[in-house]
Amino acid sequence: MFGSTPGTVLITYALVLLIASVVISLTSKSMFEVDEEEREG
Amino acid sequence: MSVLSIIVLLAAVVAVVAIVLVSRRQTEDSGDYLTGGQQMGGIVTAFTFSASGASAGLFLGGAGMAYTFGWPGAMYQFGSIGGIFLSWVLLGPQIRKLAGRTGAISTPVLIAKEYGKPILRLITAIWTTIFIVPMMIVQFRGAALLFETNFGLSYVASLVVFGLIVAVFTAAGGYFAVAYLDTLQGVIMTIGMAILLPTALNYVGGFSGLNNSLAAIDPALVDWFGHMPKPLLFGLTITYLVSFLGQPHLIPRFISLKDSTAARVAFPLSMALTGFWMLSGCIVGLTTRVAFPGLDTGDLAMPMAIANFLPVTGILVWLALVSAVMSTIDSLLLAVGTSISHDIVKGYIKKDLSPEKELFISKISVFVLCIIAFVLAINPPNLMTIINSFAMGAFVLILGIPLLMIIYMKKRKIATVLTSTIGGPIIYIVWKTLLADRTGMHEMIGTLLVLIPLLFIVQRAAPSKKEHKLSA
Repeated sequence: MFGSTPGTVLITYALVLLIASVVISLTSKSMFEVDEEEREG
Repeated sequence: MSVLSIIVLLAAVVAVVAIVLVSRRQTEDSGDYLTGGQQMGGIVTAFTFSASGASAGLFLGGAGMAYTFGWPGAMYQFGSIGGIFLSWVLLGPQIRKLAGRTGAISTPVLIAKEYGKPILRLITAIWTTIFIVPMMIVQFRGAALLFETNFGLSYVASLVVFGLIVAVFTAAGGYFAVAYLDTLQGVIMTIGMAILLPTALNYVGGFSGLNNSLAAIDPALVDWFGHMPKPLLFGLTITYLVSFLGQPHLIPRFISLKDSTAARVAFPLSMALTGFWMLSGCIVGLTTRVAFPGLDTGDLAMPMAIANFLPVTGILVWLALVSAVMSTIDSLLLAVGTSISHDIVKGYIKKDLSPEKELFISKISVFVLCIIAFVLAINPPNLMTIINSFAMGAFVLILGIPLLMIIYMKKRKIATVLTSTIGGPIIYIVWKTLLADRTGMHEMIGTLLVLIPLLFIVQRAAPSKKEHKLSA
């Protein structure tokens, strides 16, 4: 589609990181699970 | 000026005033003013994080680099997009958790409390104040040039107009105003680029036409490295990859998150926004190289694209450019106001400072910093852009490494963090001034090569001290 290796790789890289961020946000408990009592304290 | 331009600008002014008025009602104390009372939702946080991170360098500089070097000039975006990703994976949720545990509303306080050394609050706040100034000057200059080219004002008059708008807005509204305006500006940036990108691509025959045309001008423009100096490419890539781990105007975005759900929304949305803005800025720069190959400087690529691809709706994209600058500088001002009022004055000079006076000092600091930035931006040094990226890199050493040590090292030692916060910037400055040209190695890469082994040595050699607990 882009006809250029650097452009293709850069755009693919950005898409992969975007998908990874969605997956991490949906599945990671250790990263996002925060004790809200601690926060209030 | 066209009727459409006047309508758009009036709408922008009305929106800014409305945001300030709404924000003032929500702001009751310094916690509200500095971090939005730690009650910000995911969408607003994603927009304010992304818009604050995307400065004048993104649209003007990113397009300019792509214009000058072709695709090789866009390759450092591997670092900037990766840097945003790493900042969320390594820092974001953990910073929110730490801020909740310590009650800290600024990064210097958080670091000082976690290490149990109040002096760290002063050291990091002073470095923050020093290194933010050159970043502000670059933003001021970028905005003034945009005002100058669009309205025909003189450069100094443009500086005065923009400086007053930003200072009054930031001082009057605080974090809520900055976050809400960043969200509005982020929407404008997204719409602006969504109009400009397909128009520009259509002009050059789509992606295939773009690459064929670039290759016809010079095959190096569609190469991996082309004519881009490799030390500059690797230096920029590494700097952007790590610099998002320590930016004083971005870390408060993590602190302000209200809960883990907001963090889960903000992370992917930030990736989508910054990825789109960064890549579309570069691609517009490439299309401008094809359409207008004879520009004196790559920095004119984006203004040329707006003027020629979008003669009617260009005001919207112009507004997007000003938005990119303003959303960064209001966050920088807020960060430096926090450092001076909360960390230096309240932390050291007058510990019993009332919340009202703390707020007042923060607002005065915003005005004073604006005046300093204004004076220095009248006749900035030629290497201001390089100084800007230099300043961004310094914050990795001052804030980024101490924060990473807090999160990921169980046996952290005060000697190690002092080596990073004091020794790191000194090595960085020495490398930049004395060794970068001689070695051909970028200051960020050189500093990390020296500092990381040094930190390991200090960590092993320094006397062990039992846990550093909250005492700052």
